[in-house]
Amino acid sequence: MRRSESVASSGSADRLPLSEVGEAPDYRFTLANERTFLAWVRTALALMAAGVALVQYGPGPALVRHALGLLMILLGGVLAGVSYRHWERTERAMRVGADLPRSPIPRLVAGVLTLAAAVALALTVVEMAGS
Amino acid sequence: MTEQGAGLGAGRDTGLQPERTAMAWQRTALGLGGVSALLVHDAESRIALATPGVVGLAGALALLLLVERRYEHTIRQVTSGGTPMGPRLVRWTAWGTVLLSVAAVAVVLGVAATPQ
Repeated sequence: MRRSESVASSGSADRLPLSEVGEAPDYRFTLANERTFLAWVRTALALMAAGVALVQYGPGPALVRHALGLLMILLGGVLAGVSYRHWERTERAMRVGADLPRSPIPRLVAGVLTLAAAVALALTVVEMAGS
Repeated sequence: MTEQGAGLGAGRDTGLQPERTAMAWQRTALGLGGVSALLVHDAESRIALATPGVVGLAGALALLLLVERRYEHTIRQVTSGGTPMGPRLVRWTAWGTVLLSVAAVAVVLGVAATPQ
């Protein structure tokens, strides 16, 4: 099932429909890939929900709340799109027995979340000190 | 124990992978519904701004129903040695979520622009 010299890197194989590339891997791998995709979509949805909540109930001036909230909602949208692409590339790699693709998303999510949390914390502290 | 009826029983995966995958889909559908409900709540009585949330809720409900069909399809494929890979629902879910995020931006901006 596993071919080390894969045809995936030849470029033309990237454009074939998934079902015509290589051969189906162990179904458990396919399902695991699907669940990973779904986990990322739920992360995207959680970011969107947090963004909407931040705008409504967050600390600080309205402009900052909106900027931060909208950033999180948009990151959620980007994440959903990127996670589909990642699912597709992973499935393709598994079908030809190539190495699984690396993903930039964990780093991106961690970065934006750290930023959002730091700003929200700072705003909360400032607000508490002021009242 | 080996006879489980309805043709869905034979050769079942002891790791319950199809079940876990189906439940991951259900949680995702619930998440979609949750965000949609939040958007409806955010829009309050602004009918136009509530539309994306209502559409999202309908989509989440549809997804819950489709997931049930997908689970049965997965079981059938797995027991017959086929692949449960199905890109269509994956694609729809991803683009639906992207669309929901764009709609959420519009709702948040719309709410800010029309104070009640």
